[in-house]
Amino acid sequence: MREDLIYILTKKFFLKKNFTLIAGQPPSGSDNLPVIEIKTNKKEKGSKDSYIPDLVVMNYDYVVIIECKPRFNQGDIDKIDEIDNNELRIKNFYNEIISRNLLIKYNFLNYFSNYEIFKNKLRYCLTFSGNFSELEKINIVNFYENKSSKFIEAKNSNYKMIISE
Amino acid sequence: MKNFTIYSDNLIEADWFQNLSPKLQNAKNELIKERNKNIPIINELVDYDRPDIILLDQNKKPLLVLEKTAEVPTGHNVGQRIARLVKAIEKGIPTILFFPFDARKHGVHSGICNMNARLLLAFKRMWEIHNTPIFAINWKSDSNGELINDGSEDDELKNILKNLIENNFSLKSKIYKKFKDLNYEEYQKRISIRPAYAKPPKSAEIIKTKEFLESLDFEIEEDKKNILLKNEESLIYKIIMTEENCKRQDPYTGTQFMYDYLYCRVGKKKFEKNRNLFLYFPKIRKNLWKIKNPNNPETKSCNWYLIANTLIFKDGILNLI
Repeated sequence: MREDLIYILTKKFFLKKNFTLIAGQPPSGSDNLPVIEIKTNKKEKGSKDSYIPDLVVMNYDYVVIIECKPRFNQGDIDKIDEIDNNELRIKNFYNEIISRNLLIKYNFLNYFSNYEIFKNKLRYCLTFSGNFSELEKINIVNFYENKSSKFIEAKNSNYKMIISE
Repeated sequence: MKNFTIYSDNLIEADWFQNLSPKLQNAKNELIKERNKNIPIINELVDYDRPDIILLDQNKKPLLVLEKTAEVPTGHNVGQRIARLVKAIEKGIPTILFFPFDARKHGVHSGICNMNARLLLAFKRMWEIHNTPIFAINWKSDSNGELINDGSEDDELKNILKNLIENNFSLKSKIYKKFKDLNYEEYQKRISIRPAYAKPPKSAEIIKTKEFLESLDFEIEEDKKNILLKNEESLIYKIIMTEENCKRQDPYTGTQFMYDYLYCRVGKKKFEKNRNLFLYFPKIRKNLWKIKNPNNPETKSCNWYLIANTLIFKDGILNLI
């Protein structure tokens, strides 16, 4: 399955689950969403250390960083692990969302009223087609050729997303 | 209902475009393939570069070309997307560029960026020369400069498409005139705020042809010189690339189209100019250039050889048209 199709299906999946699309950088081309760049050092020039999530979605319970890929790739897990283990990146991610007024714009401010709450509600998700196995910290949406999907929660309860079927 | 086909650079843009009109819901989606691997009309339209969207009717006749970007075309980057649109205009196909006229750039030096208004005048000239609509639609931003993305940003495009579909994409559709006028009003408003946009930029200077040719450090053969001297004036587009970094096209090959239509071109054919267009590379030797940027129709580097009267290097000229 093409990466751009996975991106479209991922958006449709989360919209159907009543999430709001907050940001996105499709694998190619452009979308109508703001692009959020997460850096370790905001002052550093260029995009050398920057990480741009494919999609960011929110509801009252979660803010989710999503990577959309044609198939499962260990590199994506490493990338998400690096974000999760880097407090500065998560803080910069929060600051980017605040500086763009996205919490106010989408009426989420009461549910993400400070950085600690934001951090506790941060989740990760990989979306792809093909085979999968459960992951410790990362939730999965698996897509099939007939465009149906299957959601697989992360094993670790601190990272798990509970979303309605 | 007509059977439209949407050719696109990727499915995300096709999906967005398809949702602009209920009349496009049953359109067939096709991806634009590499150069020379598409149906003939698509091959022609991607000859200079690939636009995001090409809409065809049931007879494979092109109806509309559209390019979309969330980036404000500031400064020199303004020309980056132009090559994707010019071929459509040359072939008489209405063309739209959808982008933010003003929007916030994020990062350490965050601020509102404004478009390079020369783009709007270049579109007006292209329209008049080819008698084909080409215009810009503003992707609106809020008071903080953040792009609107609640769906209302597409309202203008939805109205245009509705109108064009109802009028069978007739070139006589009144909506075209409306946007031609709106774009020109926008241009005038912007040059009244920033008059520099009413003149060529620093990188593009209008000089007497004779004077410029005499200032070069090498001799040009007499017959070639006579051809170049046919136009009293020339626009010198000075491109300061080094030999190490000269294997590239963007944004220069797109920008050359803007400068050609703004300051040189008077007719549909590339040689119909009242000023020469010279691409001037003062730091590059001709033979090295030929290796790094060959005139190979299979690659985008052939765009260097499309419309300039000649390319001028520190030791010679190349590709006289």
